[in-house]
Amino acid sequence: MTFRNELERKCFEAAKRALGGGVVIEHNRTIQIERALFPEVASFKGPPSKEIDVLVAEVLDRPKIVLLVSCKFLSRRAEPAHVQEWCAVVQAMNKYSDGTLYLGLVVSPTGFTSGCEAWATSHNLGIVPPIKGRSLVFAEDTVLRMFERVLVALRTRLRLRSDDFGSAPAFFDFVCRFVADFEGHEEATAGGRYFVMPKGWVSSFGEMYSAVGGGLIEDLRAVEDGTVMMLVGGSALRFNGARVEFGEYSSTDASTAATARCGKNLDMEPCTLEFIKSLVVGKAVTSAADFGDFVEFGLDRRLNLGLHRLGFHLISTEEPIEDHRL
Amino acid sequence: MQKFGGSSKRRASSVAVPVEQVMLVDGQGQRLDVDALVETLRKEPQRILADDEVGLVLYVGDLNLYTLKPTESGEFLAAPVTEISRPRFSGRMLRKQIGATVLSVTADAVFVVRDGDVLKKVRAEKLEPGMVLASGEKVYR
Repeated sequence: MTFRNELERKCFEAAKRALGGGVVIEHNRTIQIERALFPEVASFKGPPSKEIDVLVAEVLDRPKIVLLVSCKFLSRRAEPAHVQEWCAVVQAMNKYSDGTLYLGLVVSPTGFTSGCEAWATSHNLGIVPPIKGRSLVFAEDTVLRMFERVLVALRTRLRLRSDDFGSAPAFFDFVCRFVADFEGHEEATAGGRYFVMPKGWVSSFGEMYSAVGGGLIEDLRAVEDGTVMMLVGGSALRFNGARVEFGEYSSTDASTAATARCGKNLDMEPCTLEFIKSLVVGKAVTSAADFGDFVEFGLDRRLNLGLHRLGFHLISTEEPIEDHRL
Repeated sequence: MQKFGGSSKRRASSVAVPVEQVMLVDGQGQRLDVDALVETLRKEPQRILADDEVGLVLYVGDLNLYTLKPTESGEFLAAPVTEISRPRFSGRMLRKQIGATVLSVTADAVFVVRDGDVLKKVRAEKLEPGMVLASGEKVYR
């Protein structure tokens, strides 16, 4: 398979990942319609013949639904003419279709000018990236992730229901819903500190707390370059000074056990890990705070457990402090 | 489109926060708890259209659900819903206390507040203490 440019190759690979087979790239393809029984066909097929570069993806067999993708490798934002051209192609294919529904999608990593949306909406064409929102320009990698996300969702969606994409702007809206969620995602996740295990998705403090809040502590471990708080049910939180990872934790984690440096009370009096575990195992996580060098969890509103890169600390939060030293 | 009146009680999402605070009703106009619905439906893998770093999208086109959009007259217009989207990050996060609940919302999350006899939409970043939501809950901070 030959590719016109790098974008086309990446779009093809994304489509193959998302849909498996049934994806082809065609260059300078002269449009061939399915039915040639109408008078208008003569003028449509006449010169100049319409040649297009197209990524064709068969999304569904019965009823047959084919996605026609135009990959726009432009130095500036795509203009209405680019969208109009694809509107004409998809419209013609549907007009003379023999039962196949053709859906159209235009991918332009440099974005779209404002006039494109009206054409895309009225002709039921999907556009990636979205034209609405604050961020009109996304990184090419992000645009390709949007494209792949749309294809994966489209395949699943069409297996559930396929009769409602034919009329505008249903398909435009569908694509828009799946790419609009990227809006703000990158800025919200910049400088990632929180990550979801095992997928490594960038996360946030709020999501981290949603995952561990209310959980009961099952075990504490010191591992190579980090500490781990295991929760009942198989989830865990791992801290290494720079990253807070949480989620499913594999008991076969390759990290080797390390010796934990542990302290108790506000003056960080040295203690053993076994001592801390004897007080925290079975306790529920009731609050959380991130202090940069360590993360701290409130337990049963009585104790604060800190996870450091090299160990743990435990402090009683009950007053008066002197009467509640551990 | 169908019209529904009624309250709009809401609660914080357990994981993700929708860009717009969705008010969802069933075919009889009964208010649904979106979070509970999402947690129930995500157990049906065939409904999951996307579940990735960006967020969760579930297909609900067969459940006869409607989303309520408030009008200036104080009534709600109901539009059919085919997908429920729960983006994991959709912008700057803010902490707000509404009623007894403190929740994290995105700065551009839209709340419907009472303004005299009418309702108006206010972004979370413009939500001020003392405002009262369409549901009757008061904004404290």
